[in-house]
Parts: sequence; C-alpha cells; structure tokens
Amino acid sequence: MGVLRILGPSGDTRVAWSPADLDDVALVRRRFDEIVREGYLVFELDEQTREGRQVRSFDPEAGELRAFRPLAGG
Amino acid sequence: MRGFLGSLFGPDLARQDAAWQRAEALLSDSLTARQYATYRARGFIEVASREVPGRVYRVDGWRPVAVYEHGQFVGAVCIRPKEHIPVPDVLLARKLMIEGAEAEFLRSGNWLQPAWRPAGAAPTIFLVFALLSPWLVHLRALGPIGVVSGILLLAAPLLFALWRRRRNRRPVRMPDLSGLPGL
Repeated sequence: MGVLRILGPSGDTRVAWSPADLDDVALVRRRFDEIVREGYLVFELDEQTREGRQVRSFDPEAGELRAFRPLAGG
Repeated sequence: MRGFLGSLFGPDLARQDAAWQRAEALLSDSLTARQYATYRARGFIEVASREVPGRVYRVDGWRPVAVYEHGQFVGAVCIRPKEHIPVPDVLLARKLMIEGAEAEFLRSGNWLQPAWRPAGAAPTIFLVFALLSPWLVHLRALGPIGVVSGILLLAAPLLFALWRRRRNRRPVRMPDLSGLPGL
C-alpha cells in the first residue's frame, strides 16, 4: 500500500493506492504527473531512516511519498 | 482547550489549528522517533549534509536554516514556501529538500553571512572618547573625584562590551550526533 501526501495550506491531502489495483495506480499516476507538471517536488521516504529521496516519476511500488511546492529564498 | 479557543476566536483560527494538528501528525509520521523527540524538546532537528562533509543544518519551521561546519556556525539559509503552509510542514519540506535536493535547496535559498563586526574594539573606543571628551572637560570643574568618576562611568560599558566580545569568540560546540539515526 502506497501513500502520497501533498502539503497544502490546510494540512496535507492524502492519496493512497494499492499496487495490485491497476485502476488505483492509473488514478494516482495521473495525479502525480499533474502535480509534478505544476512544479511540486516529490520525495520518497526511506522506511527505516525516514530520509527523503527526490523522485520525478511515479513508481507504484513506492511506499511513502511527500509532495510540496518548491521553496524560495526568503 | 484548543477547540475551545478555536470556537472563541472564530472559524479561521479553528481551521488553522486543525491544519497545524494535521501537519504535526504528518511530521511525526515522517521523522524517526528520535528526530521527532528532538523536535518536541528543542523545536528543531539537525540534518547532516550529503554534499559537504562535516556540515549540519539546524532546521525549524520559523527561522532561517542555521548551517554549522565542524561545530562552527558558518551562516544560514533563508528559504520559505511560496504559499502558506503550517509551520511543521515547513520544517518537513526543508528537511526533505536538504536530504534529497541539497544543491537546489542552496540555490533557491538566500545565504546569510554571520553578522559583520569590526575587526577590533579600537574604532568604537575612539568614537566614544571623541563624543564624550567635551563632557570629561566639563567634569574638571568638579575636581579629581569628578574626573575619576567620569572615566569609570565611561569605561564600564566599554569593559562590558569587550568582555562580551571575548565571550562570543568561543566556538559553538555541537552535541555529538553520531548516534542519531539518519545522521
């Protein structure tokens, strides 16, 4: 079971999928591509260390993803 | 209590509070237990650089990200989300960028140098004497006690400034992070 959590002003939006469910996967892939096109950065968390690794394409086998709009100089 | 305050101060505050709680929960899910405990106790977490050996970023959701190299503060990176997101989410986004896209993190943020200070106290001392010398000349009318008192009053803040300066020169000591997971 994978989960994509998209950070936003009112907290995160959660999108979950089962790698075995092809409809689910297609739906999440579309959403993933959409947010990447909008400029969001997506990171996959390592299950053990919780370190982030940037991903640019959707992998149905991914575990936990976090997405947010790019940060800018303050 | 939070719900009660939210109902008192209106729906906006309640909504913000709910967003904050969601962000806290997400942060808890996204950190190791040790990192989250550090965040709860100290308000920040430390993230080791993958690009620069010996570099550690001290990350919270409010202030610029402080950068330490071998325990010495070397500057800070000012970087913020383009849209408002709750503070715990800001911390998470900064941490993930440092871990997964450090070069982009550094490129996007503004680098802040440590505050500039003059090389020595001499220019400040000279300026203070120049500004206060007319006052010292007038104190002559009060005799030697007046002059000595004036010089003592004048010297006290300067001695304090010199003492603080000497104290601030000591390098910042970082705690031993080698045992922390993810570092």
